Amino acid sequence: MTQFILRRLIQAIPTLFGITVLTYAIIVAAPGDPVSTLTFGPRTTKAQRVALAAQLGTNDPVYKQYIRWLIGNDWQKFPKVDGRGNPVLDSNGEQIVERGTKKGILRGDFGTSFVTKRPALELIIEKFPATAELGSLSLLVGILLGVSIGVLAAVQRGGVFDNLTRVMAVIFSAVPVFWLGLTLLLIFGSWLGWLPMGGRYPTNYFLTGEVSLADRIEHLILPVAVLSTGWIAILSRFMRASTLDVLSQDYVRTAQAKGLAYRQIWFVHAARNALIPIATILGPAIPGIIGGALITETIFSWPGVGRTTYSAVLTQDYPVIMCAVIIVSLTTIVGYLLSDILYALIDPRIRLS
Amino acid sequence: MKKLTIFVIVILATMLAPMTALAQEPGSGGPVIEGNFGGSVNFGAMNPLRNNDTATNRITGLMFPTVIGASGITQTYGLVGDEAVYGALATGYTISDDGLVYTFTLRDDATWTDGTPITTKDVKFSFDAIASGAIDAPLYGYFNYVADGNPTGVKEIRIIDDYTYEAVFEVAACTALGLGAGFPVVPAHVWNYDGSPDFDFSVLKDHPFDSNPSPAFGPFEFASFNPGEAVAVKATTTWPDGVVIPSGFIYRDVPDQTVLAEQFLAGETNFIDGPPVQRRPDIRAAANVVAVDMPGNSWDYVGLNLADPDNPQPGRDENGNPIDQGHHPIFGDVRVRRALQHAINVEDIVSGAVFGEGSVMASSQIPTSWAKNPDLAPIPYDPELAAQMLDEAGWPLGPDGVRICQGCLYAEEGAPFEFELITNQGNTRREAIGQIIQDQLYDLGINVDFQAIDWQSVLDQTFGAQTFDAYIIGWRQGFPDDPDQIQLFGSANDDPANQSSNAVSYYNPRFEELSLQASTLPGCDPAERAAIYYEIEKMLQDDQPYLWLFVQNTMYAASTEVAGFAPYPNAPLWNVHTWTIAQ
Repeated sequence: MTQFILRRLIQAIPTLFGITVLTYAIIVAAPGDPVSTLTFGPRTTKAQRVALAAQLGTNDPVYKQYIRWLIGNDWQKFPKVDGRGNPVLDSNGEQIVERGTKKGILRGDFGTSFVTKRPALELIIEKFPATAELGSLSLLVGILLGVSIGVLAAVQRGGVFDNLTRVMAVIFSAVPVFWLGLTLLLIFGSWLGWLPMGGRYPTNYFLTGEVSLADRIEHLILPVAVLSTGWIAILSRFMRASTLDVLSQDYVRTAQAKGLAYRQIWFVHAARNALIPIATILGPAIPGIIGGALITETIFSWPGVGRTTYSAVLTQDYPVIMCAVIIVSLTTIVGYLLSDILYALIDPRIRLS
Repeated sequence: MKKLTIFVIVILATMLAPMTALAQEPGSGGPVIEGNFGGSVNFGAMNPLRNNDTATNRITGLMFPTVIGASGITQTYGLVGDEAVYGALATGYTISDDGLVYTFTLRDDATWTDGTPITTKDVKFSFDAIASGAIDAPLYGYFNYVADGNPTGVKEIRIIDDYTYEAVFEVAACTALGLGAGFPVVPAHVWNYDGSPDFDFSVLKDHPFDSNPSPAFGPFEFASFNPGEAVAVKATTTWPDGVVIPSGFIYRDVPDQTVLAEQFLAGETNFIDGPPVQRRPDIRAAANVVAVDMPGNSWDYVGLNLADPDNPQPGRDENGNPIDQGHHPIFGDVRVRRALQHAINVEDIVSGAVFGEGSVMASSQIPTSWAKNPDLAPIPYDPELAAQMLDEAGWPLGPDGVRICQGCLYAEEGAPFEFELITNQGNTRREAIGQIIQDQLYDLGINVDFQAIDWQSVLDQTFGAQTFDAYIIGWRQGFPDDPDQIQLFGSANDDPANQSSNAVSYYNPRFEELSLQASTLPGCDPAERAAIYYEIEKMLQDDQPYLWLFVQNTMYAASTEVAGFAPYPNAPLWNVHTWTIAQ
């Protein structure tokens, strides 16, 4: 097992490297550049654009930009200039030359956002709690409801409940999240006034710092409901098929012959084995949770990673995009690895080699 | 009877006295809550010298002063004590005879919230930090502004004493007042600024002040920052211009415009600036809302390429001499451009694109500008006249109903009247404008290939390469408005290699002469300058480098629980410290 994990982690290095090269190439090849976006306006002069491009390093060839992003620029020296582009001289009248200050991601420096001037890693990391909270709760609700519905639909195969849940699954898969989110907000937030219309905290929290558990739950209900619909749809169908397979097995028939209660047979004996294939989709769910849910975060004003990354893409904020890509790539690799390990742990027939 | 009257007065006074006292307590009025649709999920460093986007400015403008303020009433600069001006430090200024030195006097009763007096040291520190090039400042314009080749930015700030400083310029220009005193001022002592010329301003980068901007000078000071969710500021007790009644100002991120309006209508926010146009009728009709409509300062236009798009050239050579840029086969002829302005019904466009929430523009100046020519009317919609003008310009209707060149000035004989019109995808307003123009011109025998493409591609084709036929985007005027438009239409700012703003390649020596005259008029008398801008505005209407469309109206609205809400154009929060919010 240890060997397997180590081998997979070593294999991940070139994969990750390839992803960063590809991503950097794609964002640089996209139309426009960050400087034209940041300086768009009639008052900006050529000198200002050139100065900003030099500050951000976007005036260099792509390979140089990538290498600098990777290993930093503190091995390079740069002549110091003032805001007008004039050389800054020392007491001897010679232009001051300074070392770069970037360390590169190999030394943990993800750079500074072009737009907000804040560290890119900080921008992403500070959104993790909100994203993880929303994503994991949605997944949890999705698993609880999806698995239960799937098992019940399987044991009542062809019945009213089975057909109803089949229709429900189709609707949950087909309804656009933005529509569902807005509709729920209008009904429960605007018309009925039962639930807050977005955000993670009540407004007063920002001045007083005080928040109750009930407030936090209120703010979670609608976004979690919206985001969990997709999971419920997928998991209920998955679980139904998986349970049907298990229900036809000999040991289930034996349990029935022994007179065990049906509830015990379905939820303890059958569901346990039917859950094994579910493990394969939980690992890949991790990057989805970490990467955030852009539309749900936008509709519910949720301060998550998805919105941050999307905003960075629109403004061509290279350091933030790359930071998000690295983190999501890492979690994807780890997610698949966990999925394999989990599969081996719960199914003794599987051997990792 | 007299006794009764006195009794009633005493009773009333007794009842009202504690209420008045309560209302005057700092922070007793409940928080102002505004939803922010600025896409500020990445709300930036809150040092106003390091970040200048609209969302950040909303908050930093409540916490940090500028030397000179702006008045919502006059829509021009204002000093301490002028009506509807807040956050200013200057009590007066003088201008040297040659117009190169502006001397500002600061109020002497202003202190940061930690008790440190605000002096010219803070002003010099702030300006020098911007000009150092060491803090990634976006405020280049203050020191680096170049109009028509003239360096009009501030050359130097010189301290005379604690409350007097000079802003020195290389050339005399009427932009000097704003450039020499319009930048934000931050507390220099936070960075232990000693006034040394060798001070290393890079210490401002990644400083804790970015996320905890204290101390402040304004009605509010920093309270909390929850990234992606809200920034909150709280009432100060040291504000010298009156008691700050609201307990705070909370600026919540609401990235979806529909939700933004719904939150306001549901009472989750109590103030809204510029709600989505389709929801404005509901907001006006709401019983618990006070809504005020104002002309805005963002305007959309259709830019027409006047030069040859197959061979883009800069407007001037290295020596400043004009370069022959060729002619666009269709728009190179001013008669065609004038005909097109008659051919589009801007009123219909306003109805279709912004639900009637816009004001038709006559030419290049917005309605609220002090330099707007009040006698200049928009070009009327007249499709018959447009057809006649196109016939006369050598573009009669062809056999298949599309106009073709027959004796036109710059296109090949027989060439159809068709062109590509681009705008940025995702901007539903501009997409609607494009579709309506496409329909309206089709009726006149003109084929418009309208395409909504991504923003970066629009920039590349227009300002970046000048290979376009026509495009729709917009500009936003500043506040106070600077009516100078040499950057938009000057030949020195027409270079496809440098993302220049004069992408349409307009060139008119008289325009450049008048613009220079207006922006450098000795004494900068507003009335005299306005007269010159009137002439410029008429000239741009005649020459039609743009098809003039409309300025979007804006709306400020507050819940009826907010007492004291009395907005002016561009200045909805000028008296926010007096607002009382029922709790």
